[in-house]
Amino acid sequence: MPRREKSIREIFSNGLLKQNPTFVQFLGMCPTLAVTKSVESALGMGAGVIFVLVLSNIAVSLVRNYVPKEVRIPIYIVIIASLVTVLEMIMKAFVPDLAASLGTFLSLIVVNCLILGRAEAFASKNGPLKSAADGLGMALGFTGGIVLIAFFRELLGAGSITIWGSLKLDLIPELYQVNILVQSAGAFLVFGILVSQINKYRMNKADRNEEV
Amino acid sequence: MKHITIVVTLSIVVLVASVMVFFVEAWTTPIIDDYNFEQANLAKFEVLPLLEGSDSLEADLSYDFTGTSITEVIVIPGKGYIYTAEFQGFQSIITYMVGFDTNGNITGYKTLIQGDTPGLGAEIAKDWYKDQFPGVSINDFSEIDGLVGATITFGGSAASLSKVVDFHNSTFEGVVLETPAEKLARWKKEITIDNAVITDVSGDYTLSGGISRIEFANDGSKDVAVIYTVDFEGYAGIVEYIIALDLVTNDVIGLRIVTNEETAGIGSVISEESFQTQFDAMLQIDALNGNIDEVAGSSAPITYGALKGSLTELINFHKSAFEGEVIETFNEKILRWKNEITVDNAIITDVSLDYTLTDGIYKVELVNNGSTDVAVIYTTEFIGYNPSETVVYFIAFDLVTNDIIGFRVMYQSETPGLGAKIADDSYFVQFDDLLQADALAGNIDDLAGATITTGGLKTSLVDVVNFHKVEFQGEVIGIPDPVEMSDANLLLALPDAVTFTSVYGDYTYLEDILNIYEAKNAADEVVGYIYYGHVKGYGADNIEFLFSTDKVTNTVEIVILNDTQSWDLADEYANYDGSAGLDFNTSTWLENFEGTTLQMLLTTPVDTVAGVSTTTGAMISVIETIAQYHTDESIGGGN
Repeated sequence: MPRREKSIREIFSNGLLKQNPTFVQFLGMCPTLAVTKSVESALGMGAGVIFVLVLSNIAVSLVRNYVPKEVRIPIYIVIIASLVTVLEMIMKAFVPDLAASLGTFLSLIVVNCLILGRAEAFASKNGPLKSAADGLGMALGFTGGIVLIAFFRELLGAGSITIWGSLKLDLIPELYQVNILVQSAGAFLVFGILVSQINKYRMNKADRNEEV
Repeated sequence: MKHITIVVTLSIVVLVASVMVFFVEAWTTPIIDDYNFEQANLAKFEVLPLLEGSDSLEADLSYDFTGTSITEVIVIPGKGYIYTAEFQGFQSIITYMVGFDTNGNITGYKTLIQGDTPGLGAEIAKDWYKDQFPGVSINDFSEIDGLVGATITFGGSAASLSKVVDFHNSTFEGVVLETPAEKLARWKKEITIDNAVITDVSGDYTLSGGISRIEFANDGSKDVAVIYTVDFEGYAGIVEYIIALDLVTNDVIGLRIVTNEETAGIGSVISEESFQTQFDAMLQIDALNGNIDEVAGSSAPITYGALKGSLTELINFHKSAFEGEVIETFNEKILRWKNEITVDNAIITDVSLDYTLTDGIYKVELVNNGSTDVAVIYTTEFIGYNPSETVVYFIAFDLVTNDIIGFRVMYQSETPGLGAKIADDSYFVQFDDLLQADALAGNIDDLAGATITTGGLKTSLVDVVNFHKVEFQGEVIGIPDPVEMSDANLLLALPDAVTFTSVYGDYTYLEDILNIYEAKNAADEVVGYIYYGHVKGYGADNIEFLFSTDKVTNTVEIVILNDTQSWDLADEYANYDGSAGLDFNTSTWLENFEGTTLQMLLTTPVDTVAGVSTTTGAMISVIETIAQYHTDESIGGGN
């Protein structure tokens, strides 16, 4: 029996939850750990990934039928690198502070395996609309993942939640802040705890499904 | 064919991507450049917000900033000017940047570097200060508030800014500033008469007292006034002023401060117009006596004192040069003073060679009234506040009462307005009839703010009085009277005795021994001797004790009379638990000194107690001293 074609909504939610790149696929770990010191930079990184991933998925999908198999990867890289370059210039021009805080990780979106992975695994086999839905879902899933990590790190580690610039809530006095959480090690701690909790939930669900 | 497809596809993709990147770059580059430029020149943007990324911020090096405190100026055509300047704050050189627009308004002020006192001078870098500047006219920034308590820093800021404005006005606004020479010429007319013809006549006089120039102001027919250019050293530097005296009335017509290196906001206030106007038509006598109003709220005793001193010298110069007054020479003055404080027509004989002079006394003179010597004058020096110059004074003692009858200061280089007041007539008065005992006890007036100078004088007076007592009153100085001790306490030391008589006067004085008592029994036989001694324990605490021997030098008892903290530290020793004050007497350690002999104490030293070795060591040492003394002096004839 041929596999049923997935609807656009399913494709979208697949990336958002079921195949969440951060917590399920463990894709793009490098920025995940590096830019989650504050919610603001996580959001900025997320926005960048949304921009690049949606556009690269669409672009790859559009050219998928004309690209010789032998050079598909170089071509995907050219597309992604160009998009990242554009993104970088736009961010430096309009949100320079955010661009500075993301630093190298902005350029490194080029080699984020999530982007190339979706180009190869999905966009090269599906139409532009579905590819866009996949890109958006995955990118939002990634954004949600890093924002969640950043939320715990910044709240518990620095006592605040920075949404954008001066839009910052100071919630926990300095005395009660867990400083290690905003240091590099804190990223692993928070990430590990979150993954364990998510896995616990997923395993339990899987167990229940088996029992039924 | 396959290869060509690959090459063509790759080429097309790269081409399309390049074109996209090219357009985005063309769009964003100017925006990024602007941002980077602004970041690199934040301070400049802050003080001149009209700046744009395309403006050249090259400093213009073609200007001469001498005397302006400016270090850099950037001219942005059509937009404004950015100055960087620096000035001396209270503790640091403060660098700031200020922007002017082309309409003559300040566009912004920012402190770049400062290291002044937090909470005071350092407030200059705070927003509340710099926020006052934007929109203020460069020619009137008197509304800018400083900070009370940090006058030097904030005053320095205002003074520096006005120099920047002067430079700006003359360089860019075409305002012709008076040169210093023009200003001086205008002032000389202001304080004499309009259209005065000024002639330098300095060569005709021997200049002194800081006077550097003498000029006549001629009204076209005759000389009407004389203008002196005078300088003096104030607190922080040199002050130069010009002063005009009327050649008919010889009163002051006017005064202007020409240069003023005094501290901004403190000594510098004498340059204020309100201060200078009081010299208009000031009587000569007021200038001579320093009857000058100080600027309200200012506290600059050194500057004011130096100015007053300079004015006095100047008026005296004028009197001798123009009023035919003969100003007495220094030696004449000293002689007059010596007569004033003793008797008129005194015959003064230097008898210094008859004495061994000590303690800064370097001259002793006898004053004879024609028949008898009535007084002695000591010329003495001491170091006051100024460590490099001594204060020299002379003081006269009546040879009958031996009290003080007069005092004058001959030389002093103490701080004007503070220690220098020691040379004022008003200070001399108290010595006209001062009891010797008061001089000895230092009962003389303190000069406010000059405790070091007056303290030095008091010490010196004690030396002079003691010298006088020894040489003229035949007193032996330096041996205090024996200190009395109650019989009740003495009984503790020698319970067998009934009467106690001090015999210390018969023996050599020793600092450790306050008194020595001979103790007798009811049959009036000597039963022993009691030493009342004292010694410094730990932390210089004074321990007083009684120590007794019988008449054949067997020790009897040691009684500790006061209990200080140092003894309490010995509480772990023997039976003493430190709880009952004088109960250290119960300590078995003290028994080391009792019931033995003085010879034994000298040959076999008692051990100190660990932990309180300073106190016990001192105690051992003083007892040994007494034992030796008892032997050496053959107290009671025995040894």
